[in-house]
Amino acid sequence: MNPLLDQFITEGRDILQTIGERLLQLEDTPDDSALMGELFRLVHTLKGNSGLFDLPEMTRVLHAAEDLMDAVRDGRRPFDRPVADRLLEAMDFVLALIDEIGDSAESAPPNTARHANDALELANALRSLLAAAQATTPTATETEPAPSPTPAAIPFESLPSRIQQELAQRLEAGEPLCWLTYEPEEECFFKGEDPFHQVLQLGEPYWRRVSSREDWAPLDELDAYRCILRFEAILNTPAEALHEHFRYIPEQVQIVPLQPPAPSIAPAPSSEPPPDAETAWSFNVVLEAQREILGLTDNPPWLSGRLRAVATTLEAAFASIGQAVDRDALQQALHSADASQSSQPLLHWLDEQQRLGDTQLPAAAPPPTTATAARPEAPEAEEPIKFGRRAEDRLAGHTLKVDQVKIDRLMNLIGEMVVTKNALPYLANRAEEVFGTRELAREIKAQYGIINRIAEEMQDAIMQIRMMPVSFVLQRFPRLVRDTARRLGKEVRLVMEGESTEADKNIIEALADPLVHIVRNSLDHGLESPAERRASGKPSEGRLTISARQESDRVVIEISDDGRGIDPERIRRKAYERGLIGEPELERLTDQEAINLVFAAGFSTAEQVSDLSGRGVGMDVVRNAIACVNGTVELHSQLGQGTRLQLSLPLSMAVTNVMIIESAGQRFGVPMDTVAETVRVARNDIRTIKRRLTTVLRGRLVPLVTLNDLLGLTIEQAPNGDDEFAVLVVRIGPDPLGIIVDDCRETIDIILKPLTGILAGLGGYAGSALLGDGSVLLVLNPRELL
Amino acid sequence: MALAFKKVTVVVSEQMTVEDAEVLLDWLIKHPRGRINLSACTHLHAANLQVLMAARPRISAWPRHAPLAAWIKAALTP
Amino acid sequence: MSKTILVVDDSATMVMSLKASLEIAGFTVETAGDGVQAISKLKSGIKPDLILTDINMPNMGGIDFIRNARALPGMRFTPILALTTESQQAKRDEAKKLGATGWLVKPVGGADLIKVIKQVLPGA
Repeated sequence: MNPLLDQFITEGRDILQTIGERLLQLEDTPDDSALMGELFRLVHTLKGNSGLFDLPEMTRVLHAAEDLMDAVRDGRRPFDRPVADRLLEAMDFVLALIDEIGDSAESAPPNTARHANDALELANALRSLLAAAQATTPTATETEPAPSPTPAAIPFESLPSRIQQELAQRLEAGEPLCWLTYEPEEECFFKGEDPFHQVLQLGEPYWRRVSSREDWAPLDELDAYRCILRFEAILNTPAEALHEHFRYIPEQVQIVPLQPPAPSIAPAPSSEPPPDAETAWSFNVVLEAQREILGLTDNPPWLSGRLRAVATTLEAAFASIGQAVDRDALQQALHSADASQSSQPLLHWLDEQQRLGDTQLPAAAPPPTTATAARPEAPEAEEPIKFGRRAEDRLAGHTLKVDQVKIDRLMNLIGEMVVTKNALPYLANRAEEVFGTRELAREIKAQYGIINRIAEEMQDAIMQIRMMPVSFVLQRFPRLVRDTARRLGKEVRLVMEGESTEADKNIIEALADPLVHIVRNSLDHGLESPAERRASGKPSEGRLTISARQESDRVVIEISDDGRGIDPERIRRKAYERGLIGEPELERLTDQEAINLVFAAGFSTAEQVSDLSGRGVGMDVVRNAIACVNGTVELHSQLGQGTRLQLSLPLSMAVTNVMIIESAGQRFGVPMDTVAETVRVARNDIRTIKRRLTTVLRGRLVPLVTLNDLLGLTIEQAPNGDDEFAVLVVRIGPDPLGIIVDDCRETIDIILKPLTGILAGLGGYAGSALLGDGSVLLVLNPRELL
Repeated sequence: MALAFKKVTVVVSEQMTVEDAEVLLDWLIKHPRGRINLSACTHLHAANLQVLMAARPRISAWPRHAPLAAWIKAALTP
Repeated sequence: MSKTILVVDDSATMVMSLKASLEIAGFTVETAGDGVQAISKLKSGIKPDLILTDINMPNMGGIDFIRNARALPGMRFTPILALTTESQQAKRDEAKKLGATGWLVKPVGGADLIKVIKQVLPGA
């Protein structure tokens, strides 16, 4: 995959995650403008990024989402549930697309056109919310580009006559000539502008003039950085192209398409609405231009044509501001001007019109001569820091994002290293016993000590990299709880604590599914409907708490609710009905023992299987999943008060410390976390009580089993020379239990790999590991064995 | 360096930047009869154009780059 | 001599994309993730020939960045292009007023990007 796409996917997932969180936070605090600003920025960034690729479906949805967020941010549309729902939906869609792109191995994003209909629907749904807002509130529209003066005959009479004639010919020939006047604002250099560079890019003009807008100051007073230049040029460039070229500074240029000096058709006067400031501005520019033309003292052969053009333009100009003119008076002025070959009559008419019109023109219209030079200085707007994020978010800048695959590789390598280094003691033994070089053996052992230390530190460092915060799995819950609660018609407040608690990636990942199941259970069966809660004197909003904390080398996750709790009586009855317990237990089981029955296979408390947590998957599945990563589950419940589930998991599972034992001529590993102690028990000290082997350890009766029995072997366990048996005392339930083996050997660190292939179905084994001498060690799982 | 200062001539090479305008102005104040050689100049920032227009020094060589020369000539010989 | 361009954007994807386009065109590229980072880069002595900055960024957005950058002695005349979207007319105007030279509308294709840079940067 190409690195840009890769980056897009990684960043996209992060952004979507944060968007989801912020949306849920906004539901609680809809007036938080900082949150709103951040949300907008995130959607905006994602949309911008999607535009880098050919992903029209994604861009379409994000664009609509951005517009909606923009409206919400500006207060044009309140942030309410429909908005949150639609946006969450849209983000789910985008995430699905990103996942699809991420799964494809292509270097270009796959075609997502088959989602086009979904995209259209989502975008329409988002826009419909926007449309509703716009129907009631006026929206801010984009500022129109600065008005360009109406096409007019420009005084190119001030040009040298050679140029004039050439231009007239070109215009007659239909060339699209434009007159450009560019007056860069005084402070333009301080905006990184170079007006001369802009002008040079225009191509060769037919005519040009560079002048200053005021007289040059004496050199020692000259401010080289206050721009008072004026560039003028006549170019064979369409007006649109010039507008495009000067798009950043439309107010500093005048672009006038030139017309041949011939009469134009006057538009029919119409009753227009009163002129706005822009129209008034254009009007003044046009009028001023006509005044300049009339002020010319030359006497060209086409003077009559020029006068007619002026008259027509003036009539049209007055019509544009809705001011009717006395056509007859104008015609008369034109006639006498034509007869006398002088501009004076028209100039008089214009003076008269303006004197009359002054009262009618909007006062806001700036005088045309200063229209460009003296643009009002807008006050410096203080932009509030809307997009400030909290300090913790800044950490991202110092965090290195590494592909998971690379960490896994590092992990595998250190695993091999740990195993390989274990070969050194074998080598030392061989050096001494086979080759008889005690000195070399000692040196190898010394080197082993050093390599061992480094390997351990390295392993520790890599383990640190693999540590992930619990929030990785918790982050999905706000959304899950919100959606599920709504579907069930319940009101639930989710409280999450200790999300930054860290544990190994594998542990965190193993938590994901059980947690979802537990939370759904709680929402489905634990928490009551608002009515039921009120009836029992509880607030209608239920409370679901997920907390995480570290306790020595374990991470403890607690999921508690203040729902109806578990009724031990009902559990007893169900368990009995399902044949899980017999008549005697029905009486004898304590309430806590009864509650623990929910972990029994095939037990389901729900009266009817709900589509949320039911489907025959019970708490036994949760317990097994947690047990797979050496975790334990405890359940406490108080009828009417609520339920609390406590998961306790190791911080790390990558390296397992096992004890090597021998039985039936084979070596096995037993995870040290299940081994309480190892003892030697003389044959005489083993008694059979109630057909079970037992012994007494420190005054306490300990039941014994033989490993060969557990493994289904019919071989007797072998005692040592003193007729003593090696016993592995394990603590699985509340009471210790002894497993008789042939011999207990050293403990060793291994990288446990799950059994695969045909062995995968084999019960009783936690997995296998490669030993330093190259042999394979099967690691037992005493929990399953028993 | 875009500006090389000889006794009475500044030789401009390549681009004259906006910052150069102040240097040029200072030099022209100190050398009222100073001359400018623009033959190797490929572009000059508008601030320099202003300085040239205000000071009207003698141009000992116009830019070889024709479009630039045409504009500067238009600015200095109205 | 290759011209240096400072790209300021909080999106790593956008930075990567712009950087690639600019480097292909022969520019040297410096990057910063927000206005604060960009200002400290400028203060540390990096003197770009042109700055491309996003508008919506955490910590210090593009508008504040432009204002602050213009106040730095070496940055008075440096062309600054704001990266905006088509819906941000008001932001564009504000950026322009505070000292931006122009703007680009995202998504910016490589060719358009270089074209606009050449328009505002002599000798690029």
